[in-house]
Amino acid sequence: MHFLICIGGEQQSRGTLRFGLMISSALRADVTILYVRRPVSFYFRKEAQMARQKLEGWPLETVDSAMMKAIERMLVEEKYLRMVEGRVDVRQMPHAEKGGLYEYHLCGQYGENVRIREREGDVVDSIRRETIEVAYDLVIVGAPGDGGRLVRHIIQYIEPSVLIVKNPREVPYRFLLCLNNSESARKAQEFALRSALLLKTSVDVLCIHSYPWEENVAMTLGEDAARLFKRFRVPHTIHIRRGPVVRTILKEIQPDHLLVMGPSERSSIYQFLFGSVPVEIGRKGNNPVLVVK
Amino acid sequence: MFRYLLYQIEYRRWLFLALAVALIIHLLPVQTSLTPAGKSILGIVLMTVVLVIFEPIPLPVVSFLIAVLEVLFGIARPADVAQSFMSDSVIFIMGSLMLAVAIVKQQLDKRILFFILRLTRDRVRLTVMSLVFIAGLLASVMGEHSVAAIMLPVSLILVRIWQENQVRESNQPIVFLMAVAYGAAVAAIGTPSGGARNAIMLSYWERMSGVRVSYLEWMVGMYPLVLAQLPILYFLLVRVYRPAAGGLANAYSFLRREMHQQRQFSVEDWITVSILLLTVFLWIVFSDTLGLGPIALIGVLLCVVSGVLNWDDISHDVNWGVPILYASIISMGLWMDSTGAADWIADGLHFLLGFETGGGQLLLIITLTLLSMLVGAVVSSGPAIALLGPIFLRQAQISGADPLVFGMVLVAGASYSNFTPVSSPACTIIYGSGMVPRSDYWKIGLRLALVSFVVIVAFAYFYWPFVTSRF
Repeated sequence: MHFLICIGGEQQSRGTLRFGLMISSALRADVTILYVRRPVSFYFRKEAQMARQKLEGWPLETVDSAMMKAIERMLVEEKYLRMVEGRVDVRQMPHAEKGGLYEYHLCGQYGENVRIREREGDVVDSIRRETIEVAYDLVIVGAPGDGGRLVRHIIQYIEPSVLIVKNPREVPYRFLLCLNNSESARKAQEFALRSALLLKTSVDVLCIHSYPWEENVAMTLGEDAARLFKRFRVPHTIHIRRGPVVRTILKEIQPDHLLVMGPSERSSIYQFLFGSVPVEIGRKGNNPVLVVK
Repeated sequence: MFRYLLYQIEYRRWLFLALAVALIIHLLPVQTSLTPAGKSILGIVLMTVVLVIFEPIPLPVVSFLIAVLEVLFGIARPADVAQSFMSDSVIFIMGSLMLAVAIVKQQLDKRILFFILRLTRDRVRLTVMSLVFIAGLLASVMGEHSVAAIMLPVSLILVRIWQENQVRESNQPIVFLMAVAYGAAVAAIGTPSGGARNAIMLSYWERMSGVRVSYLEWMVGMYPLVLAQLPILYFLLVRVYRPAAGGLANAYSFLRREMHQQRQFSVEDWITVSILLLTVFLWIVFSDTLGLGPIALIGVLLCVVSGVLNWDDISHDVNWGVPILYASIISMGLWMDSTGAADWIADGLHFLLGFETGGGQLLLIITLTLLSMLVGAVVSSGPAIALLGPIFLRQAQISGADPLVFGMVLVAGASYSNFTPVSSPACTIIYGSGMVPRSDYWKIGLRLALVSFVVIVAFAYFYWPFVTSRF
């Protein structure tokens, strides 16, 4: 597995990074940490590049390498990197790639690949380009307080599964799996099962129906899920609830829940105009949300 | 497919909004005093402002959009639009950018720092003053972006050495970086080659007011302002940061070690500096007859023929989008003038302000200075001068004032409103070091703008009318 953890700076992203590393180390996934830098205005881009070239002639730490070193420091503090004789095991020193991308390649504690990459530009566009170039299984992003535009764009326009990290805590998380009668929910259920086994955590299954005549479908989904989790000996509880989906999820969610759900199956235009359940939960909720695609 | 299209729509929403604004204004019923073409060009101007601020598409592509819309909206025939894109100023901008590449390639940074430290040793305030004046004097000729690129390592080395020697944590070391950023930004209006925006004003004066201003005349008008501003900037920096004495003792020895590893001033270095000096000399003496652009190209030709610059360097390191963008903005300004749109705005401004010639002249200068500073802060100095230039020159005509004075007010006002890291090339490049917080630009920029406002108004009222009457 290969996870992408996106961070926007040293301080504000520490929680996202810690949470992402916790998940990645449990699942023994290769990790790429992407730092997106604000773009330099077009007017001065060449001059800024020339200034960077000039800096290379001096024994100075450049801004790019400074940020990479800061991320490396965080990874060492989180005990995520393999150390050889007290030093970080480096696979490849920071180097420039095509398209203004910088990369620093390290070795994880269990031999995983840890890459620190730096891009310049719009956050969503940079993440999108990154996921087009490399096949990631999961994109982990922190949710800033900007009214949810980033959350909406990430959930709607990024191809791989997305984990929106909100208010990360130092507690063992339980999964809250939201099920409905869709293919995407089935994928979410599989992902929750595998992750729960690896993370040794429990799963609360939530089946919501909006109308009385949908109750049977919800019950069947709950029974199927119970059978599956029982077979793999994953501790679980089943909850069948009736009501508006978003409001019911927000009511049922506990502080130690990590919400797992599938993406909306409605058309792109519908989602563009009216939004979707994962986006609403990502915006309004206070817990991490994993959208399995 | 749909998802991709929707993403592009959301990502480039400012482009669609800007296009809609231009189209709506183009289709609006005509005002009696504004020609249909004038109305359409105003729509394009508004669109450009939105696109320059939010950059939803690369700015050179904005130039293509301007050219296309000028033709589609029936403002001018394709041949006339193409003609309006090229002028001596555009060639001058291209030539200056190419010359700047030749200069940045040389190892001037270490030599400059060596020179400064040999002069100042451990005296911090004297070092700050040297940085302000050297960055300023170089930027006035070479352009602030080249100077910032050359002097960023210089100031960073000083910051690091000072941080190592001074025990307490403070933001004082930033003073070295700010000295370079603002020294270069303040002085870039000293000569026409200090920045592309200066060339735009020269173009407007020539094509709208029929006045050709030479390199030397520009310097006579603007350099005293720069010389007045640089000491003010130094005192402002020292007052805000209050740099403590000492802490640079080992900087000189460090640099001597660095210089020891570096080769001597090579033949290429000497040739480059000589060509730059020769080009400046030609600009000062012959810009009246040869024009600024061809002289800049003579400098480039000499660099290429003498082997200090090759075409790969030029094609790789020159930001070709800049002359293309400025060409389109100059074209837009010219059509604003010839379609009567500039007249219409200037009339409206005159009516709104209600100033009469004579007694109201000072108030008019104050208002125009404020306006240029405000617009300069929002869209940066180059586009501000390009957009306001035709209006200011018409305003001068209406109020019976000298267009040269109003043009100088605009150039100075738009260039001295550096409240943000992106307001000038030098500020942006220094901000790229990651060591200066955004708030510091506001702190220094606002103080400098307030002082500059008074200085510009004083120059516009007393000095510029005096010198321009002798041009």
